[in-house]
Amino acid sequence: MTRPTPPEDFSDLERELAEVQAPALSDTARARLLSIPRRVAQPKRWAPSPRLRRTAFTLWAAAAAVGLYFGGSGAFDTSSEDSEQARIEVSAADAEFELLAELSLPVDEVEEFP
Amino acid sequence: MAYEALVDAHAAKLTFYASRLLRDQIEAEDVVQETFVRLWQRAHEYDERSGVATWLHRIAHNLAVDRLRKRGKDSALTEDDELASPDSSAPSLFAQKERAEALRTALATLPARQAAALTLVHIDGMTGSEAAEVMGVGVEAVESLLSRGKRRLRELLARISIGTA
Repeated sequence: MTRPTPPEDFSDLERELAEVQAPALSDTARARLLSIPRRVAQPKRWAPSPRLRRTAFTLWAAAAAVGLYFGGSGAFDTSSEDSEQARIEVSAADAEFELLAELSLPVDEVEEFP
Repeated sequence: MAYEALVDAHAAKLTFYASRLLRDQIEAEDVVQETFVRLWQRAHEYDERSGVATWLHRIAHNLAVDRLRKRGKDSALTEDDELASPDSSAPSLFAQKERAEALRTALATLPARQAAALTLVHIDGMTGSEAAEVMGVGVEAVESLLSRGKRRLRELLARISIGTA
């Protein structure tokens, strides 16, 4: 029966490697790195402006009001044309609501609209 | 300034690491420039689960690999490269007893992936799993690279010392 080969001992080599120091940066290389914040604009993450949020909210509220008016008047039951129009308005309201959700508009702000 | 502190803490190590992969100091410095541009532009993408050093090394590693691919030297990333000839100045390094410099020279002649693994773990002090994250491989692959790398490094150093005897 053959004896298993003992694992090689690299501890001396590992000690030597641990003492290897990365060469210091040249002054030129360091200066180039430090100038990056001046040379490169830091991109801003996109966020909806307050004006866009207000516009989206107004659109949603108007669409919701129209949808409620047609829905409340019985348009869904009596006129297929009106019913179709009402469905479009409700879809628009849903789309606006999804937009608001994407914009993370607080729900209580939506509910306070008259 | 936090940015300056990051440059001082990591840029030299990143340059050393990139130069082990690329075997070209100028290109290594360019890679580190690009790495810090990305750091500046994408700091918000930093995942705190991995350390800053690991994250920066990972960016530098990917940029270096892209450059190697553009050069058409994918073979530089294989594990079974032939050993490059030791630098002709190596004997004098031993004569001057500059063992650390000789080690650097020997590291530069190792296959890129072996040199990368040795640099990350034994010089930069990363764990095996951190090195694996940087190199985009498994921990076992890193262990294999380390083992082969140390064996080859020892052979190479022996060859250099015979040459100086």
